[in-house]
Amino acid sequence: MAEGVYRVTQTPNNHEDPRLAEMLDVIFRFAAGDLTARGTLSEDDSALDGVMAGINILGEELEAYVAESKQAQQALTESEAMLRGIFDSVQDGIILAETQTRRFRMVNDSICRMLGYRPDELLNLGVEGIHPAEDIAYVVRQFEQMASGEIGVAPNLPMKRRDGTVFYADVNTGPMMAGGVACLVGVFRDITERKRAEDQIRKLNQALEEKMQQLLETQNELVRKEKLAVLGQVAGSVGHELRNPLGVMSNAVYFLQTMLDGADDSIKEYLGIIRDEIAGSERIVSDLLDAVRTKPPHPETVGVEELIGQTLHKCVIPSSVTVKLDIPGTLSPLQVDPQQIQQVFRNLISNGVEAMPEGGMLEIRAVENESEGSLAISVRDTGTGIAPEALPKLFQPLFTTKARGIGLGLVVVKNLTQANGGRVEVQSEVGKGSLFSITLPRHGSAVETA
Amino acid sequence: MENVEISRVAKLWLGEDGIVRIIHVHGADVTLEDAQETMAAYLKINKGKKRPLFVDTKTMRSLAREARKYYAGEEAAKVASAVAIIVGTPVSRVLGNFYIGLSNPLLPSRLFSSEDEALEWLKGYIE
Repeated sequence: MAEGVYRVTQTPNNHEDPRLAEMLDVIFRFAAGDLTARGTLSEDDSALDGVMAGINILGEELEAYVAESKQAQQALTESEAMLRGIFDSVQDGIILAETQTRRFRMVNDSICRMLGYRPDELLNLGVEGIHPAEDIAYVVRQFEQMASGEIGVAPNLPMKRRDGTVFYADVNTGPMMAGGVACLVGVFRDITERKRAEDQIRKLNQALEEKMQQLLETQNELVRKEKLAVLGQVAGSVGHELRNPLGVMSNAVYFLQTMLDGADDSIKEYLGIIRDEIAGSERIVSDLLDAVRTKPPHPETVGVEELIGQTLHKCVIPSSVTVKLDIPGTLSPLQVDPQQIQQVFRNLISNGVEAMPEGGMLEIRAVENESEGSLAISVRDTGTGIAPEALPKLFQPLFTTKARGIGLGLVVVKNLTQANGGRVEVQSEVGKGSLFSITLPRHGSAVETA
Repeated sequence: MENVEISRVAKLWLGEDGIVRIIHVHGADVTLEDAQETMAAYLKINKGKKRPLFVDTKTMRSLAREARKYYAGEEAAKVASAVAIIVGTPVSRVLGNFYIGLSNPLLPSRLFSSEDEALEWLKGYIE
């Protein structure tokens, strides 16, 4: 009973029975909030004494009840203040929302700071008021899934501040009943800084990967150059020493063929074999010297069709291999050293043919890249293909996948292409074939070599 | 007399029947301290056994709330087996009824206006 609710306006006045008057006085004082009032007993063992004893006990009980209630109320107030303090002091934003209406029942200071609203303003908004309009459908679906317990966390949820700016938050939720109404407690963690850090890490990783790739390429190039340096020393002495005897042998064979014109077929056949093998050996020596000593190119303006036509004319293509050309007549001419680039395509065509011992299709295609001012000429075969692990070593000297090769052909391809201001790219799949693409500067482009 | 103790508000003794009598002085206003003193006196005469209590309240004038709760609580229930409260006057009836009705004593407790009936009932609690 709250103090002061009942007011005693006059003291009971009962002259006929002062004990009854005292009894009523105690009762009125109780009504006025004075629970310490007590009546006296007369010791006459009367019924009125019994009633007074009962009233006194009632007073004691009420007094104790009120004191306990006050203590409980104080404890409740302190507990509420403590919980409110915790609620408002956490860095994460907290919202208590009704599951059915999605209206807010309670918000903490952090969520108000995050969103830029006062608590009373935020309480009037509801779920739809704190997310970008275009994301509401998604947010409501997430809310419903959380309310039904299907999910407990909604990561990366877009949040809209009062000023319209958007940030992202991870939301952890849990169900609770508040005043008999089903609610959802949402704990919002601003992940802006985390996202920024993740982006930074992603960029650093990407940069690191690029640097690693560059390092790998540099390492490969270094290995290539080291091998070329060794080859250069060998080629300088051995190549020169071999060329002279090969020339003598070639002249001798020519002489014998001339002198033995009437000889039988087997002698002619063996002389032909010797001649072919000498020519093969000369090619190896030439490749060796070309690989280590690339001469400066003498660029000329030359048409792609003409260049490829002349190259094919010098190649031996078995009948089992079909050559398909796709070289538009409208292409700009190249600005390259024709002898060197013919050597490049001779090597690629020769490799392509050797990769198709059972026959197949050799496709040569040229495409112009207007923006780059270049032409890409590709040689595709339908041969055995190259294993992925062999691809990075393909242009290293002395690396070969062929039984009879010495690993110089593609070194020459790369050296001569680069010397002419171009680049080589390769794609290959085992069992399906390979595609070598040579990109070269067109006539009049900025990248053409002088 | 053997096995007799006297506190500020009551005289206690252990009868040959194993029942402890507690007779309050005339006009006793029993406070918590009085209740504790009476309980201490009881422990001197119960010879370490839980005994039934015959408590005459006819002469009692008041029983404080804390004293009521003390008698109704665990401490008394640990050392006594039952209590028969003898009432007669309107005041003792009110005190007795409030004790049983409000304090929910742990001890088996009952009001009697007949001493014989009370002693008969207590015999059932002699261990």
